[in-house]
Amino acid sequence: MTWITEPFGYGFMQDALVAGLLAALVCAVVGTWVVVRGIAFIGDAMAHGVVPGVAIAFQVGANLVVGAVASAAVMALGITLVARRRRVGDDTAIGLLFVGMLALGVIVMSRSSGYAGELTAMLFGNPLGVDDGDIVLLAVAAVASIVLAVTFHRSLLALAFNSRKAEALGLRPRLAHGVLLAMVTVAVVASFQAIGTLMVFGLLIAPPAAASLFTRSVHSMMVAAAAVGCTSAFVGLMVSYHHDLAAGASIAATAVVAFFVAFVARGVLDALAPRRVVQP
Amino acid sequence: MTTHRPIRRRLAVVTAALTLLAIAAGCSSSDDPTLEGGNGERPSIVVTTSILADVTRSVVGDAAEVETLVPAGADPHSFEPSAAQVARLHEADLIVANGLGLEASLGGFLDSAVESGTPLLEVAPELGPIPFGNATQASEHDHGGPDEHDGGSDSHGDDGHDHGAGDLDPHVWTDPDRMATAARLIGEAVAEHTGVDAATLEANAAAYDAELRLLDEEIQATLSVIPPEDRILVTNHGSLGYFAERYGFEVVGTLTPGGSTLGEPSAASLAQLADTIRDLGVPAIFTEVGADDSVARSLAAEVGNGVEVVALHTDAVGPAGSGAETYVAMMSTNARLLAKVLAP
Repeated sequence: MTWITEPFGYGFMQDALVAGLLAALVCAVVGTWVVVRGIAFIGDAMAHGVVPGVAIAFQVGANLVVGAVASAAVMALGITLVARRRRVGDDTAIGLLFVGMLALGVIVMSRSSGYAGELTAMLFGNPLGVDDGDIVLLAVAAVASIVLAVTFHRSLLALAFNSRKAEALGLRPRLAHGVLLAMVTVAVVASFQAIGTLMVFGLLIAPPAAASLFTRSVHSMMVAAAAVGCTSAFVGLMVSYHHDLAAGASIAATAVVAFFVAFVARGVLDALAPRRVVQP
Repeated sequence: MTTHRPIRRRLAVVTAALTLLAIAAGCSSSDDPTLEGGNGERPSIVVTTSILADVTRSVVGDAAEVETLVPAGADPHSFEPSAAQVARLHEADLIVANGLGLEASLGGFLDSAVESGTPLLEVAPELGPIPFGNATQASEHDHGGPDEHDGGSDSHGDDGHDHGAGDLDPHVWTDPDRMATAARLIGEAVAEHTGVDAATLEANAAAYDAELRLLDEEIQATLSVIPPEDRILVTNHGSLGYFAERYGFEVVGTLTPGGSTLGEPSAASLAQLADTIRDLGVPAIFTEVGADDSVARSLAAEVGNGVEVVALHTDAVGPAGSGAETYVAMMSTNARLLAKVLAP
């Protein structure tokens, strides 16, 4: 058992695991809606969407996190506004804001006179550099995203499957869309800060995608995604320790491998039961 | 129509697969790179950059294990450590870093090692840092011999390092005089924290100091073929500020603003730079080995007049055969390249 106890004898490994488990939880809840709604691109877009806020905060000497959150909020509002037009798809709205915000960020940074160095890297954490503040931030994000998911469950469900009908039922799909973006903002920005982008993308998309192959309800999908995400965080950290590999990337890669394992398993199960038709 | 198989059974398949993975991850750890790392007989020192690692090796010799954290040639922006590396960082007897924001990209794991009690020496703040981009505007750059830098406090493992990249230029290593002070500081910190014999370290640091004085003289001699009025530089990013200060150069233009990897030059500033190069008759644009020089090339093509693009070793020591295997070799190679291009 020393191959488990030895790595987790280090405080930073324990912190990384706790942060990884919390992030897996946040990402399972938020990522399930992201995957169901088909807006996986939002994670990457948000990571770049915070750049102008951070750059401006840096220039005026304000708190970088405040800049990041403000920037993400502007981005979420912009996406909601643009996506109101039925003719503009969600992915187009996200892409539009993504490139707009990133361009603004590069413009601001390029006018910087000081040593801006690795400004964005400063904002983005690393699973192995987690501190107590990061864990608190992740715990708050976990609670916030679960509360939002529970409160708006019916609206989100209606939005995901039939937004016209949702409107007729008075479930306010536009509000639900805003809520979903708020959840993504909270979860993703908090996780970037704590554990870095790569691990967040990995946990946001791969576990819910793997879970979607084996589950039929949103709830069970979230539970299964959390299980896959937590396992990925644990396995990824073990691989990183024992094989001397980049930690965040190991966790993300493990989550993606888990998806393909589930994918193959699904295929095998379907082949063994050819009469059963599985609907998406 | 639809399956009603218990979800649990399907989850079991996934869980079983992941368990297998976990076992695979752990079991083949017989050739474990981490186990030998921290617990050897020799003290271990982890250094963030390849240049400082070379200086540290010169000071400690074989008395301690010196590991470079970010390998030469790796982009610090996308560099991610492994858990094993961070474990070695936590186990290290001393961490040597540049400071002044250069390691900001290393995320919080440097902080967490320091919090867990690993002593950290940041050299740049102790070496009389100058503001970033100072050399760009400053025309009063005549240097008066080897300056005295106060290297007051030697190491400070208490307050961690400052994440806010500020106005001070972190590229201190382009000045050999400052690096001589850095070598002395490193020697003192190693003596304090690792139990390596202080007299040996002092002797090594003194020998290295002498080597750097010779290097300094050699660079002065190499550069002496360049008349003062031709000592003007156009660089890719602002990494030669300290070199310029030491050897009486003026950096008249920098392609990439802010030293940020996300920074891009504006069309207006490039046009202005082209005019400057033409007006002053600057013969070359200096870039860094390993960096993208496409903008420098198009600028050189725009100016014409045989303007060259020359890559210097500024950010890392080079591989064997590059002429920049050590800090000393790197600096003297750079001086020769500069002299070759800038001499009339």
